[in-house]
Amino acid sequence: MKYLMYARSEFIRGFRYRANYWATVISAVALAVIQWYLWHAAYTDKDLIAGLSLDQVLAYTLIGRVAAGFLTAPTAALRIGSRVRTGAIVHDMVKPVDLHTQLLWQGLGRAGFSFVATGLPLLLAMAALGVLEIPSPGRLLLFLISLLMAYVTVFSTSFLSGVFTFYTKTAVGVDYVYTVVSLLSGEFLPLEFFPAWLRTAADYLPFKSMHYIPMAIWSGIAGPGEVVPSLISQCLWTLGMVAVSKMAWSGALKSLTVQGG
Amino acid sequence: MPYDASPVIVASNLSRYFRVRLDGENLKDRIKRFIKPQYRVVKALDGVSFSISQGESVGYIGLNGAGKSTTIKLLCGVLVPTAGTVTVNGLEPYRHRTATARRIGLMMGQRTQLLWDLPVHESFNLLGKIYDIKPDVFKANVKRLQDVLDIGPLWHTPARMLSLGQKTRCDLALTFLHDPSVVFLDEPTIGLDVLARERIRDFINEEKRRGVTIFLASHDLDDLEIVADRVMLIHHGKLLFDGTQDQLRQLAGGPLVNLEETVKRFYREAELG
Amino acid sequence: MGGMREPKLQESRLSSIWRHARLYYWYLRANWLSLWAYPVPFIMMNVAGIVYALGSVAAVWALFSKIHAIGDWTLPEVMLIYGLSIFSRSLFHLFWIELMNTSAMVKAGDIDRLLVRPLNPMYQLVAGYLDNDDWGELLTAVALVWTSLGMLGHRTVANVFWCLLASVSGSLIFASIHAVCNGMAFFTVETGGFSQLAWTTDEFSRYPADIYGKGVRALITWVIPVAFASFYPAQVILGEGRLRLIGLLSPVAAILSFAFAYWFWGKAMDKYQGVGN
Repeated sequence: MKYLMYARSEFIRGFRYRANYWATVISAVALAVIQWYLWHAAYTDKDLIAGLSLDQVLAYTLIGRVAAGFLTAPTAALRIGSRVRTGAIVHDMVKPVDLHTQLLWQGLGRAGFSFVATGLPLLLAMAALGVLEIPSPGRLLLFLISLLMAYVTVFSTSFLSGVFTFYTKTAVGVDYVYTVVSLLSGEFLPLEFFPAWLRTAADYLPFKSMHYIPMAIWSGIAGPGEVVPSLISQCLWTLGMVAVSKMAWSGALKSLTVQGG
Repeated sequence: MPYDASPVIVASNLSRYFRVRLDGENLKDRIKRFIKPQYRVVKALDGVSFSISQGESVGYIGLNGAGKSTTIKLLCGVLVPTAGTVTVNGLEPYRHRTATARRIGLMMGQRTQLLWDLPVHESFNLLGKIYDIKPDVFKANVKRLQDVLDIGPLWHTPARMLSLGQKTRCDLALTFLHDPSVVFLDEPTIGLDVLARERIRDFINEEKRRGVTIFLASHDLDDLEIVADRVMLIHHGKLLFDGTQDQLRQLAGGPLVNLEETVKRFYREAELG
Repeated sequence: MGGMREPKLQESRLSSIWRHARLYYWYLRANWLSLWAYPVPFIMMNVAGIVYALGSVAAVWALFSKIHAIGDWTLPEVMLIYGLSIFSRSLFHLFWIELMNTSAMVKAGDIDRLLVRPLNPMYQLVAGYLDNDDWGELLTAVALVWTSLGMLGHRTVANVFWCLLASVSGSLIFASIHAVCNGMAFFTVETGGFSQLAWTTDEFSRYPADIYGKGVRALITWVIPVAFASFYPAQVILGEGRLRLIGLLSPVAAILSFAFAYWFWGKAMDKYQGVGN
């Protein structure tokens, strides 16, 4: 299957840069260390903050660091608008592949490399040190399914932002707006920490499928009764975001061919 | 043309090697080389010697990857030689980088010095400040370059709106703005149409007459035929030929009119050994 | 050759610095004019920057509204440290951001251009481009520092000036870290990871340095001195005794770290040029 080849070649590409790899590993470790100390300090004289225990918050944030590389917004998708503006898109359009699908798989290859080369060693190291506990096989499996869907949502959101820049005629600001999306996804903090109105907003937006749901499943923040409903809602959001981003893309292409760029 | 007897550029046994990391063919190889990298040495320039006098104009020809750009970078002080020595105006360029920089000009074809979003004159102003050019000299030079290259009408146009030919003319003017005594031109006419090319050749000839030493690397042998007194031919990092155009034709084995045929023949013979 | 001046072989260091300083105005001018060539994106960019800053404030607020204290530090104290950290960071972002572009410039061969001009290459790189889209974060930082000083009852003229000085010196520390990380571009082509590492280290400066273990604390004091960008300068206002004294030395730490980074960047550039092969 040709799309699998795209993923494979991006995966292999990761092995090209050696020194860069070590820098990535050190970054990941550093961020995990910060989280570990920060939350210990925050819980010095408390047992629960926002209804969560230290162990839950640590599990949530540390597995979040493990998954961070896997869930990084793919640059190629964010920059799709500039590919249109510069005319580089012509090269993509003459190929017999769907660009959305191609970038999805390429991004998956890159994310896969990041997970295998950086995330997994970090996870195993933390598990060996007893810093991070690995959940039961059932929960682990559900976490992995949820993580994969999270990637697809991250990709679709980036792609949609990228298409959006095609209409705004400039790519500036996308990264900033994306940061707000990251906040609402729960990447910086579990959603429990949000004030009520922001929590409500986050609950009704698709972004929590990008981070919160898988991490809540791993850390047990999502109780036994909540796992399946949140997976279902994540699944619906994922499909919805894929559909919306694809539609926006074909709309952009249509206006491109009509106006002639 | 009478040359100043003192050589302005002297290269002796000039060499430059690069170390290139090898990529694996397949995943297994890649992982292996990810853990333990392997390298290969590329001899971009390998023991080249020459001497160029003030006011001379030299055409530097070679195939892609022959070592043309590497040579220019060594002469400008961008790169340090792996072996051998080079002096420009009596100084080793990389050791006296700023002193050398004040007296040389470098133009790289299709890589503009213009400030992309600003009107052309802003680029000239900034470069004038960078090279610390006295206001009256700056004024006079701008006037002269505007006239010779006909860029006066472009003065208030943002650089991004210029055509390639217009951009190249502006870039040439920027290269000569600070009265360099030696100018290196790397593919200055690349991508230009015939008329634009002619204009640029005329300009270079004009600067030649003013006594500027010209070192011109180009694929376009027509450029060299008109501009260069002397031709140097480089192949796989070695100097194959250094002499006048007529000498080159004779060496290649016949009174061929066309320089291109001569050069092609030269390469073929070099490949055969 | 009309107007050609005999070049000075040796320029005194002082006159060279003065020449670079005067030129900075012309570089700034060119940068600003370039940004205003597209007024709409420029304004949008800063609006997006404010959205970003509000987002990050929301994150901090969400955190502090539930936590009230981190370790031994009360909310206003933590806010002051956090504020100084992003104050330094935004100043770095506004004036030093092009350091991040080293790798791209090496790949495109644009470094060569910097080397054939009679100016310091790092200066040309840094002065050559500004994106100016981080005023929002700067504003947020000022608000955090101002508010926390008020809450602490320490809003004196001296303290406000100290915070300004500390942030400038803090931005120099961040510049040092980014210069070293991005200087790696001269050794290895791909430096995305190093650049990311540089941005990661500034997260260490956001929280009180004594929440970390001894090892980490030594690391962020002596090796990657980000603690001098926020925690130690804050001690001049909050602390006493030895800790306060260390705080007063923050600008010295900044100058030393930049001197090292500058030396390293130069060495890395030597490597690119092939010195000592």
